[in-house]
Amino acid sequence: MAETAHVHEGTLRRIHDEPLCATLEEREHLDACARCQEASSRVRDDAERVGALLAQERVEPDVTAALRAVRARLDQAPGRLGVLGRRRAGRAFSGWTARRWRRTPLVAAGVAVAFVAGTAGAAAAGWLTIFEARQVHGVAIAPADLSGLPDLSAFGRVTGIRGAAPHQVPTVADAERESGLHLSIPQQLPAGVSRDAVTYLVVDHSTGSFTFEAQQAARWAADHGQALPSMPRGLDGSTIGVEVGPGMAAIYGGDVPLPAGGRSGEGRDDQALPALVIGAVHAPAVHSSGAGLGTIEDYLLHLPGVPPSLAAQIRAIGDPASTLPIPIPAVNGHDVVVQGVHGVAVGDETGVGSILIWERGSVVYGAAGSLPLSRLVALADALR
Amino acid sequence: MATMSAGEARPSALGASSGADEAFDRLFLDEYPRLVRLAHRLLGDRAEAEDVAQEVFLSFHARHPATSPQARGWLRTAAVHTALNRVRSRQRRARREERHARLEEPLRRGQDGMRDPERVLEQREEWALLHAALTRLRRRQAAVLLLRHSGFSYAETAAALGVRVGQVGTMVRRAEQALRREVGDG
Repeated sequence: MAETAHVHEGTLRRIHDEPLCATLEEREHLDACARCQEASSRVRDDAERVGALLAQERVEPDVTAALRAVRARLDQAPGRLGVLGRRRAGRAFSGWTARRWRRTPLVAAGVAVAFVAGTAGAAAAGWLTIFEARQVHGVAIAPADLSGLPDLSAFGRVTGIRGAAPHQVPTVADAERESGLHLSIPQQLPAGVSRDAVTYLVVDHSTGSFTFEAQQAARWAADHGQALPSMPRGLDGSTIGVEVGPGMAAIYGGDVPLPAGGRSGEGRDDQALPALVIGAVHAPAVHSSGAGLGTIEDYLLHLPGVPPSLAAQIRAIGDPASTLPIPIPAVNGHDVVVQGVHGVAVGDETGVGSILIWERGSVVYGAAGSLPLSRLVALADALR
Repeated sequence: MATMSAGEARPSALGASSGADEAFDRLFLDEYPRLVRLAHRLLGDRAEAEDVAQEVFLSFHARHPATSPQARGWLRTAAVHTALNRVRSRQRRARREERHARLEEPLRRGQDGMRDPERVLEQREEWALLHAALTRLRRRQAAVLLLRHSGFSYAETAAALGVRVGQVGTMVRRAEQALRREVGDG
């Protein structure tokens, strides 16, 4: 028998599909080693069984007709897909989201840190790696520090969230069909919340990206008299991107945040806040053009304005590739358990307002309303 | 070149009017059938598989040039994940429908009506079990299984998943063991 180590099962699996990949040594060992032959047999058995499970008849699509259809959609929907249209859509949606974010620092910071830390985690496996947050994790931050978080556009090129504007649909079934999500609606609404005053919104798949630019960062540092960490080799010019959605929400009462027309209260000081909002969104998918987790995280967390305590909390997260950090105010932020999973909440028992975020099965859920936090948690817990 | 209306077939391969269009068309003609088959393997529905493949190409067009070296990997990975999302949506929809009308659901696809209804139900149950098992796997495991069993080479699978070729065999092996366990077969 050849004096070589046993052949690894991964190699045996590949040899089953691509026999020519075996080296001469591996081939000789396999011919002589009963143990590896048994392993090879098990590997083949599993491969064939799974092949049978996944077997499908071969389909031959009409490619020319399909290309014609796609070309037609590209031509007919330049507002969504053409270059200029993308910019318009980006402006429309990013304007809406930016205004919303200014009013909801938790969401703004959550997205920002998710973008920073979550993206960094997902980047570990390279370009097009899909980041799947499997849990949310609260990181405490003082309100004063929140406004001091760095504006990413100072350190590179940000492509704002790009996607269709949220739109209203008639029924929850329509929202579910369009978003591909299932959102349980409370059987019993809190006192003062009318079942009739509900609006369903859908937000389509949206994207954003950030490209590191060393020159821009250096200009910002010179203008502001700040010292920056040196941008590691390979980071300059590399891009990280995040995709979110689709998502849906049921909004009870208040002015619905549509970007234009409808019942929009956008831009008005007397805008009525909804009494209750329940929403769900497919967890972010994140891509990187190549920079690694450690490189990105280390650089971003050393940027001026990132509080050391926040950086330490993010670094302490055990599994950054599957944990979505949500900044919560140090004063009234809480870790909670919702539907048996870890969640993050902001609020108290005064009933002025509470926000709750949790994740199950690659879907991030949220609930907010003018309710004591314990009642909001109980309401969310019952949405199963 | 004459101005063309929306949806009008263009000259070569429908029409590329620029280098970028030509590159996109070439990529589409080459890759579309493979994406359809990839999605069909998971969805079992040709129309839905084509819908997934077209959605992925539209999404790709909005983000990347067709000449991008990562184009094919991006498309394949996106097709897998879009198809998996559809399966998850189906499962949720099916659970709701089942609560309301367990056996009243019509046999939706035309060809089903020509088959033995018991066999059709049996096949649906098998599909449901397989889909449930696949969605319990880690996404990366489901992706590697679909790519490999759709005929993509180890090099192509590695490129799509952003890993080294040498890792793919181990990933496939572990994913196959996990799937067999999940379907109660291993």
